[in-house]
Amino acid sequence: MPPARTFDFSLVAGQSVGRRGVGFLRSDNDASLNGQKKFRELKPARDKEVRSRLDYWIAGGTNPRWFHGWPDLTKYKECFTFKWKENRQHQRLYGFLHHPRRRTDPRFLVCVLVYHDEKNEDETDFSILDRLNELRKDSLVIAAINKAFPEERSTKQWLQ
Amino acid sequence: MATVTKHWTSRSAEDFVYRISADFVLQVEKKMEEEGMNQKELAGKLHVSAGRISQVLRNPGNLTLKKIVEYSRVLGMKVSIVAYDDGDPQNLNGPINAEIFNLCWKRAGSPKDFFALDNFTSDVRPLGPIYQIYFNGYQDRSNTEADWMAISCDPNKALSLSTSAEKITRAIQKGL
Repeated sequence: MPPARTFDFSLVAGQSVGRRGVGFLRSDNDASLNGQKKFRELKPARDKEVRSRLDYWIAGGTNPRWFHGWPDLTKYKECFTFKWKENRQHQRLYGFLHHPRRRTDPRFLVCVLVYHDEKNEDETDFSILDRLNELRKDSLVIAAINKAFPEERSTKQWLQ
Repeated sequence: MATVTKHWTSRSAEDFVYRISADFVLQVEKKMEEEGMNQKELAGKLHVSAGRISQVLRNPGNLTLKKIVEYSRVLGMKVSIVAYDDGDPQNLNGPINAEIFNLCWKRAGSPKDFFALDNFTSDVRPLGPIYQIYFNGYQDRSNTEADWMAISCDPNKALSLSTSAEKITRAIQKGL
């Protein structure tokens, strides 16, 4: 009998306030969820470069050379990728967008990074996005993410 | 429960320098795009090799203030160093992006001196935190100095802030 699937979500340090956050999804049973591993193994200069790009997205910036989604493709509109170059090789962290506090903070958006891949062709590898779509609908995945973002008492209540 | 830890730029001064330098480089790249200028042309203006430009743009952590000024000037821009208090003394959130300061300044009518601020600031007085939170929306819950500054730099928003403040005052008085 295969072991029960488990998922774990952790925020990138210090990136959990405001309207956006970024974190990694990993699984003890599935090494293909390798985004966090790659991120942790980045060399110092690349680490800073990638973190600066995460910061820019978190702050609400737009820069397709650093990150982008596929908003025009209905099927993949929740998918997202951060980009950088390392040793002349295009690198990608793939993930999906999720609103973890739908009731009390529906605007808050988290980018759940999952996979790392090296990109060798211009065309998007939609098989990765298909895998992301499966994950983002998985109740265990959603529970793992939402655990990190408990619904908060609304400010409306606080004001009253 | 989400654990709020310090931002990565708290690890070292070098990390903080990298982040603000990266913000600067992004401004340079955007200006280059606007001007239709490529790295080779920028290199020519700065009397350095195109490789050096590429290196700086890819890894801006070693930029000096002098270089920052030189890059800005050849692109027809100026630079200011802004020290600010955003209500985040522990640096949990990292630096405010330089573009935000620039946008605020433009929205405020690009004031050139303190006199130009007079007409503008007379209508904008900091309100209590309750109003700031209300204005920012309950979903934001941000009432930091930076957010306040972003709001107060926009006369239209400042006007609606006053309206919101009145509404909320009335709501509180009525016990709503």
